[in-house]
Amino acid sequence: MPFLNDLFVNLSYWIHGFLARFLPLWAADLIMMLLTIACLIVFALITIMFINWLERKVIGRFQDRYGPNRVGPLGILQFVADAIKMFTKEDITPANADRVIFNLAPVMVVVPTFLILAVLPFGRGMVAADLNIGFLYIVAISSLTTIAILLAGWGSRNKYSLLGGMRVVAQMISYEVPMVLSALGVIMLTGSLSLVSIVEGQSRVPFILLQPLGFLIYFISAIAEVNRAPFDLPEAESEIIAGYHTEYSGMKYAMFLLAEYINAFIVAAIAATLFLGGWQGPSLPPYVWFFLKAYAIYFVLMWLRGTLPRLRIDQLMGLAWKFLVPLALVNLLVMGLVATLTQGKGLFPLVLASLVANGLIVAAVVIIYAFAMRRRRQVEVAA
Amino acid sequence: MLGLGILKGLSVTLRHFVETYVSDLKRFPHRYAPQGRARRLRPTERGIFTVQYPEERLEMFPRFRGALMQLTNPETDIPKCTGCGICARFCPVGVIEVVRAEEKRDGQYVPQSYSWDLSACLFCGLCVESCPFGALYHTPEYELSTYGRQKGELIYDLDRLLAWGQKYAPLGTPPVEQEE
Amino acid sequence: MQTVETRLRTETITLNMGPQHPSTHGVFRMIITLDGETIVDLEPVMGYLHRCQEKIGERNTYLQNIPYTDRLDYICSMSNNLAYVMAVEKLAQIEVPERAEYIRIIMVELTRIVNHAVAIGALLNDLGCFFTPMLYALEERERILDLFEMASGSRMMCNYMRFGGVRYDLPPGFMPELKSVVAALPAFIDEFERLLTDNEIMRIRCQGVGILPPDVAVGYSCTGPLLRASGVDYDIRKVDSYSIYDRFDFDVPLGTNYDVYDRYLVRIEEMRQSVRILEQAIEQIPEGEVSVKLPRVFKPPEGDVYHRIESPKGELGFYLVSDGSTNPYRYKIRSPTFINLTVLPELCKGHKVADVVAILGSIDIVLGEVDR
Repeated sequence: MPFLNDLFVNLSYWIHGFLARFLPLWAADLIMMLLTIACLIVFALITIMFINWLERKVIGRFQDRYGPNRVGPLGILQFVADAIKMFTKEDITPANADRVIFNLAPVMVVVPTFLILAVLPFGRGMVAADLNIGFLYIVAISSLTTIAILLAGWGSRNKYSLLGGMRVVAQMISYEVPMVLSALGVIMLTGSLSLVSIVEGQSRVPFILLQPLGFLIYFISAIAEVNRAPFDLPEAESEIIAGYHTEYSGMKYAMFLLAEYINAFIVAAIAATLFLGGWQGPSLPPYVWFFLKAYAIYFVLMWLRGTLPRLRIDQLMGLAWKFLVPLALVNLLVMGLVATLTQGKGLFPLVLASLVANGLIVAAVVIIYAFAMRRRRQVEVAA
Repeated sequence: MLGLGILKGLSVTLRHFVETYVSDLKRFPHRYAPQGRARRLRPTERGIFTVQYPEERLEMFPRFRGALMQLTNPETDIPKCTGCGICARFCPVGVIEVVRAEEKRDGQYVPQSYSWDLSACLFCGLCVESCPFGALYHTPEYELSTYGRQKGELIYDLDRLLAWGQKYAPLGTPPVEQEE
Repeated sequence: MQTVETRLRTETITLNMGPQHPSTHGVFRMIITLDGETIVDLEPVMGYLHRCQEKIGERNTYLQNIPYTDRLDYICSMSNNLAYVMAVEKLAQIEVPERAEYIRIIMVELTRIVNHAVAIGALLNDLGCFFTPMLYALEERERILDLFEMASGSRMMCNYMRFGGVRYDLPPGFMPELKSVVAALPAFIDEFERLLTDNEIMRIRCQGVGILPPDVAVGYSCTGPLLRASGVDYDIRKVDSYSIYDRFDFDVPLGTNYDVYDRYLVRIEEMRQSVRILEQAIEQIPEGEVSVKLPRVFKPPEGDVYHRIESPKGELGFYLVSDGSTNPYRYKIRSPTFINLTVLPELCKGHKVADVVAILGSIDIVLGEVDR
């Protein structure tokens, strides 16, 4: 169905052509840009509402219950009730808070998340801005969130918030390293930072088959990057109430919630883009494939949240620096070797060699782990 | 070891996730129990466990200690209660107040006033246990909340208790072994 | 001194955890002194739920105290009932019919399963599980509470035990229901274990955290699963057997590493042992009377008595002084969690903030009983 396949792209061409008929070209371009931005923001808001509902439903199912089912059919309008509650709550600024920082933080948290949407390829040709440094842009922009959250934690003048803010900084900076290192493997294969070329590079085989280990590392560090369970320490409810947004209420709290959900979706979308082939897929329209893959990954995120307890801060940092970073480096080295050795030999040897190499790395990890455990047991026996 | 335990845990939750849909499919056209009469999931069954309360209700067990009721003697049509006040004396928190009427009715003492304060009641059942005349029993009523406590909505007088008695007495005497 | 001077000077912060905090299991307050995320000092503050239970106990008659014992540890009201009525029975030297003893054991062991399931669920909540283990535990609890409601008329505030027996005999249909619930319990415990026991995150969070050596545990007079996880073989059902526990065959699980994880394992194993006791009790339960007749105005002889049982949380004891009137002259509760809780600062020092809630969860407190 070529009509459905390029529905949104053709729609944008049609609107642009329509506008260009009685407007100068620059004005038509400008209006198209604004329209795209509006579309993205509306998309983000709808996604948040949908994801919020979906997550509660799915986790409810994990726990043998229905989840929200009172407002609207299947509880689909639950977010309306929630939003009304959020809007009508009293907006409190704590007496001793740093007013400027305190009020600035929620805005600063939301803005970067919307900026990232600009480079996501939702389908063939469906990308607001095809930056040639797309991935670098994502990494750079998402680091901004760290500062915003630190501002929130510091400006609230609350010890829980401060602890949460400090945890965020430690966690997000640490996990950026393995995340970027594991994504480098993908970039190495395509030779481009642009997300569009990365997707196009997966037309024959998705990179998850070439780099399952890289995908795993990316996935783990991405979960940590967006502070989701089991790495949700910055807002660990049972320890530090709500972490950096303990003191926020009403609309400002909603902003944090918004940023959190859209970030989680973006991470799932980026993982789908980098490793699962983005919008590539047979028979269905490209954008449908994209959302299928993104929501499949998001389902795993919800699944993890519904099952696992959370780590402690020192264990979290240990996982990043003692396990993920070395593993990512080894993975990068080995994958680079494989890519170079099989260059020009066709697809099948590349896939085979990659899988063998990944298997070897996993075997090495298991062996090292077994040795370490044996050593530890010997030490314990000796002691 | 190396994430295998996590995978094991994940398989457990996934099983619950899938089984909720299986149980949904089994009662497919109906979302709620027919006539709103819910049944707790048997220990061997799996699936959605929760009871969707306003649409579905569990049936109370015969011994369920709900709100109190006063029974009427069906032959003489006067309350079985004689206003002896033993229930008030047995009550650990003193939510029952009884005043016995000056003169007898049909050769039996009757209460002049009887009030039960729901707001402080423990629902321990010592009043029912102590009643020597079998006049006081529990109903299966449990939806007792009101919108305020200023207007005395939570204080039940004799008439309201007797009305409940009229409503539930035909269902048979609750299976409470009386001492006398 | 050299090292101190060259180190970067940092300040400690004082954090008030509670009385309103998501994971203090009620209104419990901890004043924590933190160096970064590490705990330097911890001071537990109790008493936010103090309801003068002991003074009320002196005001009430002996019978009126039974519903109040329900409200001590509201997770396991049946075993609170049992401890109190056994103390009064000891005081007044009342013989309990055989069937009533069995009914009591069944109820109390079901309570133990309920308590341990909820304790583990709450511990996992504190560790950051998003309610999933808690809700699985509550599912099983609902079924057991249905049994309680069937027998006594109330789910949590059972008020079922009486001096010299129980309130009423088991209703028709109770035994088949009980059998089906008990038959399904091992599968539930297995699933719970599959979900949690091997989970790496659970392990690294719990192993080596909150180590309570046996001598310290005894020194603080800890009891219950907390003490047994510290490797001390002390179960009142065995060492000071009461009721008819000597007729049942069961083991007392002990910990080897004395940490939070061991407390979890001990609780899981105790649930299995309770299932064993229940199976034997179902087989052996005789027919007959379930209560003895007592005068409506119950006056025990003068004297004092202390009776203790192994409640799911530890040694629950009632000390009663009678002056021969209808009310106790003195009514003292030795609540296990209050005494177990005093060891908390000892356990927490040097750990991280996140460990405090895990350790607190592993002690398994109910504030209704701590503050009384």
